[in-house]
Amino acid sequence: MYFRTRVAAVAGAVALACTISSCSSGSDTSSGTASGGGAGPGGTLRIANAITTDPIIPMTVDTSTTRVMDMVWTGLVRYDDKLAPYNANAESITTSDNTTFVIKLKKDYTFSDGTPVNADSYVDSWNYSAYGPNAAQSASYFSLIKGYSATNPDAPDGGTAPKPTAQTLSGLKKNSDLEFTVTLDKPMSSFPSILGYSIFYPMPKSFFDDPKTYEKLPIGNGPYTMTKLVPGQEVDLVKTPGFDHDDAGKAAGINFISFSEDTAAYTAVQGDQLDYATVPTAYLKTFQTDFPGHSALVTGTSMMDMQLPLYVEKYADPKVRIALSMAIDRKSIVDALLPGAASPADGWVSPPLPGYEAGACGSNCVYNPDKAKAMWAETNFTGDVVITTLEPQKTLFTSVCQSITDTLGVKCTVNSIADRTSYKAIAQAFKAPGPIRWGWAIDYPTMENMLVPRFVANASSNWMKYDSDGYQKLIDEANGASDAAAAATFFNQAQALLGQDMPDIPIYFQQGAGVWSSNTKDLVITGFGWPDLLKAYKTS
Amino acid sequence: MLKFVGRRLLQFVPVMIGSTIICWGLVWALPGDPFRGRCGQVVCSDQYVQTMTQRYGLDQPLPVQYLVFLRNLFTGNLGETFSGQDISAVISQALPVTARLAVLSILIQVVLAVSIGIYSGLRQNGFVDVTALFGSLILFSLPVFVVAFVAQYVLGVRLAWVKPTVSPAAPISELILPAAVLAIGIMATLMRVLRASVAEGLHADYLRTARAKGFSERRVIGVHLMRNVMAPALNVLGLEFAALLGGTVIVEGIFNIKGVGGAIYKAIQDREQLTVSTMVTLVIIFYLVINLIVDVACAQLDPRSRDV
Repeated sequence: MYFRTRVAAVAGAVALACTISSCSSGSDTSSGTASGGGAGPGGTLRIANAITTDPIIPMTVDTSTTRVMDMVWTGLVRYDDKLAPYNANAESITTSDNTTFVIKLKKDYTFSDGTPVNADSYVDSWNYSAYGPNAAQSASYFSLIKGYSATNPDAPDGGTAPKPTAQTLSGLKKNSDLEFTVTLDKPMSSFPSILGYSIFYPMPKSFFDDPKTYEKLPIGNGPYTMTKLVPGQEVDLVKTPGFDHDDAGKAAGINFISFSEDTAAYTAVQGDQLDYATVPTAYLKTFQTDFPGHSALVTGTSMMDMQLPLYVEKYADPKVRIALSMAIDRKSIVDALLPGAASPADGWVSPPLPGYEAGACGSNCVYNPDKAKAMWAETNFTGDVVITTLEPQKTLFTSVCQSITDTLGVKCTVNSIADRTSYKAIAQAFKAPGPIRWGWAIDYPTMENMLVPRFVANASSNWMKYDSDGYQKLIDEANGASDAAAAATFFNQAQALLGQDMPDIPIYFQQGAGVWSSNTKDLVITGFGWPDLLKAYKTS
Repeated sequence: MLKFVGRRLLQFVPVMIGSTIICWGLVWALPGDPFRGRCGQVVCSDQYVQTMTQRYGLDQPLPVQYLVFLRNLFTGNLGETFSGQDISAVISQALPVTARLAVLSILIQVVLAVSIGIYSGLRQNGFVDVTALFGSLILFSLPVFVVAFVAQYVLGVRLAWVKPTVSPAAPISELILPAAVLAIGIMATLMRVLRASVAEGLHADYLRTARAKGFSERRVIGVHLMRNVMAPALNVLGLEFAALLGGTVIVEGIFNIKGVGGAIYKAIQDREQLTVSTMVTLVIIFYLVINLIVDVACAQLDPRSRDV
């Protein structure tokens, strides 16, 4: 019976060993970045951020990458809590006709490798992004600058794209070391306020000499400097030594840690492994009790809507689209599924944006079952309504579907797709059989960013084939307006027109909620739905 | 024995070719252009799509692409992902984490399942046996993410005995909880196999013979019985270990572990055909090697299985 006692002894020893090691792991502080690098005066903030493996350079277009770049770079402008732009690296941005902009730089900004930030840093960076063969994700954003079609010509339908005829944008001119001129293709009054978007950040000479090496640890001109970069996993930043500008940060360092699941990030804040995480839908009801005093809900700038395929015959009639919009009981759906985390959408511009006007869409975006039914009766709609959605929003669109069926009596089904690439391909190949889920998060806080890329004919994100001369006219008026208030009036008129045409049905405006650790101070969530990390710091 | 190993190694070749072709074809057949949707909310420019397609050789005929992939494998230069990262770097980031997790999970499983399984086989219908049967059935029937969430919340958040998630460095101390969760999900099989073979072995002729020869009880159980019990258990363990190398996406997500499973999942979503195929090939190689080791070990334990 020796064997049995030996088994028992081994089992006992193992149990003991487990207890010891799990106990010791509880107080283990030496592991990884959890304890943070430099414990300077402002502490090191550990922030959950879904970093991708793409290089963290201005040519990459991705929200989480932009969040890192905003700390490592200082753009021409930055945005305050209210999303209003203020000059950062720019001394002044002036124009007389909303087409030609003269940009003067402040003279004392340098990259963290010591080289100065001058007009070339911007001009070269923008030219690089716009030149087709460099394959920058951000290229199409530069189409608003004169000469883009020569550096990045489109392919004719079904053919291959021709070779670019120019290497540089004709609309970019260096005037002196610290001044350059940008000439746009068309007037755009809000141009200065989009310049805080990361794709417009400057690049040092070392990037152009050897992009591959540069991408291993990118160098910016901002308040923080990268000290470690593990693609798709973590980025560690420390305060840039000698950075003496208005946009300096308070924390000694920032560690961005990638979390593929937002529930894991939330749990990590609870377990004191992180200092900030956004609140996942599942925790919306409990986060305020889980984090009393260190959580917040803020109206964000992203929205959820569904685009209608105007290229499908049965959706070509505006009455069909308006009836569908009026058939959706947005308030009940939002209250049931996203209590406190969203508000019913009343237009295509989010509330925190400068120029927002409540009810811009008009009565067509308001639930009105009687009117919807009457209008539906006038149409020749046949068959079912099939809504295409991405898996995470399946519940939402099932409720939308139910609301449509309840009101109009038409059969409605949801086709939920788990794979993001397949889903995007359906919209981008113009193959949606019916309404298709689409969301929009702003790149930069202007009304223009929510209205132009999506609804102007042939714009970069117009997947509905919406094409309206009247709309184009209003947008042109807005872009050419002399001041922001005048522009907003035209943008709101454009929204009213969208309400009549209804190429896209708004569902809700997302609100951002975040939680942070108890020793994180001065954390404010801005309209971007993301904290202002330059103001936050940590006490130990 | 050498001949046996050699024959098994030869069998690797058709398995590798077949499985990589299947994997290659499946990713290729997925709908959606891999580049068109890589520019956030706006569509990528035609120039971008064209340049990337050429840069990654996706304009070549499919068989040519496959041959390039094979050449990469043999030259050891695995190519790069669409983000410009070396695929070898992606692997060397994810593999050590997954390996640590898998080994830890197997260790936990072996310790628990072997001790409980053998004990309950020797003492059938005793207290331990009944409790273990009951407990393992409950744990086995629970979806792994339920166990994971509960363990994470109770042990990590409420009691704070362990860290609830795994930091990028993935030290052993943080991997114990997810490893235990994985072990709990699959160890019932091993436990049941061991219990059954012990129980069966106790009544076998060879054991009666051994006892009749006058060997000590320690030698009868520890050598004669164990040798016969270990073979099926090793087979189960080998399969489970291989499954742990690529199939832990859900648990990886819950604990934020940056392992091989998650890397493959992401690569599939991004249509990174080359990355998927390379990583899957790697998993297959491990699978084959582990099974070879198991077979060799079984052959050592039981000479009869050598001729198979």
